[in-house]
Amino acid sequence: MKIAALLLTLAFATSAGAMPLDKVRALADAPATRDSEKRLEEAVLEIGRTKRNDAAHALLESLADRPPQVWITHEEGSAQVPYVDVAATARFVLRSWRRSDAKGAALAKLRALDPALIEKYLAGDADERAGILDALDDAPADSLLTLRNAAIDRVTKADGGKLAQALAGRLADRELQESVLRNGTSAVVLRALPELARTFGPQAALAMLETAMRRDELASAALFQVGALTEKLPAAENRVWQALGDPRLGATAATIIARSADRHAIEQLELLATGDEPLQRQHALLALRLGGHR
Amino acid sequence: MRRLLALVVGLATMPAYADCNFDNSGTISNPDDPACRDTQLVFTENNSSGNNIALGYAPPVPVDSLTAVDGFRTWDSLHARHQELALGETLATGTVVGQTRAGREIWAYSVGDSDSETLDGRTEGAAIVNGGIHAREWQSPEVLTGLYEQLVEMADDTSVGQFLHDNFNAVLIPVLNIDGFIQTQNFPTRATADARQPRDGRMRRKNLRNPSGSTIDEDLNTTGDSFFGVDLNRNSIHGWGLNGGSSSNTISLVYRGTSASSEPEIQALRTATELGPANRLRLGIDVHSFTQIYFTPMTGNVRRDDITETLATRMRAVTGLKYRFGPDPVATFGIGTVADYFAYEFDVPAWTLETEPLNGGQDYGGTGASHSGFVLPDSEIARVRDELAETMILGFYRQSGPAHAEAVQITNVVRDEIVYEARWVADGDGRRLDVVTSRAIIPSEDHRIWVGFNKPMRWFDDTGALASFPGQTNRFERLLFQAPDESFTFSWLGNNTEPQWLTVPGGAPDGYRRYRGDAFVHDLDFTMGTETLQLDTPVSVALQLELSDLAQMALDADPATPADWQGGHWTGYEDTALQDSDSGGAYCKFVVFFASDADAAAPPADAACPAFVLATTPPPDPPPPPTPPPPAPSGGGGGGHGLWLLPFAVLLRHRR
Ligand SMILES: [Zn+2]
Repeated sequence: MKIAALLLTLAFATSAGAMPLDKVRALADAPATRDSEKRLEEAVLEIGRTKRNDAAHALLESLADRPPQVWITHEEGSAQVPYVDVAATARFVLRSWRRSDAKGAALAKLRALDPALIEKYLAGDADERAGILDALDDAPADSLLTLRNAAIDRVTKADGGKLAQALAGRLADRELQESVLRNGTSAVVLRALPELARTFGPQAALAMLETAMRRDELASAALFQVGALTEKLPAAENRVWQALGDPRLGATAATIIARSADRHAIEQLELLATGDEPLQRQHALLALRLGGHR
Repeated sequence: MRRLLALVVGLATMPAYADCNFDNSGTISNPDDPACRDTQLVFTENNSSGNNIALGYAPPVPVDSLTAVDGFRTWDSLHARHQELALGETLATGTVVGQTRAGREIWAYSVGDSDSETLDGRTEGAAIVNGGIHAREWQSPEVLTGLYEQLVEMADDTSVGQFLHDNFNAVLIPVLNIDGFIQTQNFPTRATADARQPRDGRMRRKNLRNPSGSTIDEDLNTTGDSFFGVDLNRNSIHGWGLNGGSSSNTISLVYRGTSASSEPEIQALRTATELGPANRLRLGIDVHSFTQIYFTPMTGNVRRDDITETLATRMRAVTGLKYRFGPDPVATFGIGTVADYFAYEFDVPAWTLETEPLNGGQDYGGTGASHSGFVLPDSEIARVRDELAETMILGFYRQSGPAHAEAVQITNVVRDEIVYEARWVADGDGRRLDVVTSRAIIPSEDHRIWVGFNKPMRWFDDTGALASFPGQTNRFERLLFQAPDESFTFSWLGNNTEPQWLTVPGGAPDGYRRYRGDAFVHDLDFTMGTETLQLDTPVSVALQLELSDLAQMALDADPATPADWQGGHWTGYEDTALQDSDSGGAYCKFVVFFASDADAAAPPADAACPAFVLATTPPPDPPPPPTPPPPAPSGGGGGGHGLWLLPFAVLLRHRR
């Protein structure tokens, strides 16, 4: 019996090369059950991880439009949802290959210090752009300098600032970063805010967060990042307390102060809560309430 | 040996699942097996190896921000935002309605002015919207918060927002299952058990009730209690334990609890309904995700059920009917959901709103991994939030009550004289028409009419131009004078032409009453070709107005009996024949008279709607274009877990 198990293991080991494709073909052709569909999904993902050749590509292309075969009543309600969507999984694998191709090509261009990568990026679709951004993560910093000037001139607006943000982070480039904070889309800047202190240090980050705070839709998120600096930076703490009387940011300041209010802070809040300045009073009360002190 | 063999095959082929077994009801049947219970799953963008589940997009991580962002906010900042919007208690009022199982305060917010009266002196109607009852459905707290933000932001818009602020009470519970929600946010990329039914962490659905009486800890690595919790959407009193829609198994995703309303969260929800107050509620919605559908209890109260379906159609139209309508079979008394509670307890339109996506993460280019529909990408939530806030606002507007013509002024332009002026004034429990001026309308001379309503009748886009509210059609059927003997008829508008709706304040003759679009003016030219009507004796004529408000609801034909809501339907909402209705009709209560002599005395004002109007009923709403039905169940589902083996009809009725 033990020998049988060993043989089975060996069989897996020796046929591992051809197996996923054959398995996918067999499962795709067999009558669909929940179990077979789940195995097919796993096998498609396995191809994505291990097998990359023309045959695999063609096979996944052939699956990319395959309608879901098994629908289930979802636990959320009586509506039916696909149990497994093999086509979506196949499309995901094909896209991740395009992405890794783009990454490989980008790394080659970066090694050659070829600034045409910018054009390539701008002309690319979402997967190609993602691959180029992946390459920026892995490339040596000095190879990125060739892109930097082009990025600051052109890219910030063209892609919402994603490429410029990647470069600013990798190069710890303050000018580029400021440009992204001013001109990047809200979504890009929002993700960049928590990285500023790590990349530029708390002091520089505080100044940059001021830039971000000028944008209404990001002001609250930026002040929260200022709040994260208060332990290292007295100026950050002052900035948070100063915001308590600000109509736009006072409630955010109250939330930050409430999170870590010590006895001194609570006394300060109590004082402001009975003070003359109406916004400070309101937000001090809010901080006390959020902190469970009222 | 058989076990060893299975192990080898398992290792070789199936990393992320196959460790849990399922019974016929779809519940995990080996919850104490460490291989099932202790499996730790990780949601990733691209990595599908081992116990990683690739979504094809970055799993959202909640962000600290009080204001809305392109993504999901932390509970901490959502709660602070709710509190901020209620500061000063002028735009909203917050109330602690109870505590969670772990002792956290549950808040409900009454959004609107602080009194409970409309500007006309009637008692306001109310709606209740519940969010975050299922922890992992992150769309829901964002939708609730977005709605709350919109209502507050629009409170001084001199349009629909201000109308609702003045005249309606929206009770919002942004997050009911706070304990569970925090658990999902503390582990935004992690879950336990089995990819086919991921549990706890990001995939917690239930509250933190441990059957032992204690509270489930919030440590994802101590898995002994991770399957426990009560499904709060099975714990309400109506239909509790009925219709096979819930389970008595403490492990089940749909565990109903030990008794109806046993859970502190559900008790808090009941307390929140008193903020309506309960007898003023006219709508109840419980926001979930996903599958993009309105699951709607049909109580068997025919008028209530009809109103519910019409209201749902109008609201679904706001999002282009991409949401489906899923009515339960009539009068089955539910399965203990919150929507069942709203529908059967308060006799109001109510449903479980399942937000996007329809299928799962593949709707946004993701892998479609199992349960990815609960993990909406960051990039989609702002749109979903805005679309559903707009949808709810239309629903509130409609349920605030039907429109009626409140006042009229007709001016003789040639003589610059008001010839007819009348308005409805409060009179005991009802209203009476106060006719200030009634002089002859001379057909040979040009006139101008101003009519004001009790609510904004039209919508304006961001540039201030007249527009339709999303998904709605503006309808102005006619403005007409017809002699009782039909000897003359003057008719204007209709055929998709609109009068001039007013956007500047000031009331008659050139401004709106209270809100942009609550009044219009129109020039009245009585010439008939080259002829001019000559009258030997004055003729009494009813001004006939036939139009719908911006949510396609027709006028109350008799404002003398103010419209209200009772017993699951409208009251005092008369149709053209002045009969009790839920659909309203043409309005003919302003009675003027025509004469060729300016000084003619008024005849008895006894005119009513012309006979031909009485003979026609108001046009029904056009049927909505077909929407994709829920896909039929597949026959290809042999073996595996029986949650999906229950007869389809039963599931259609009861699962949610
Ligand atoms: Zn739900």
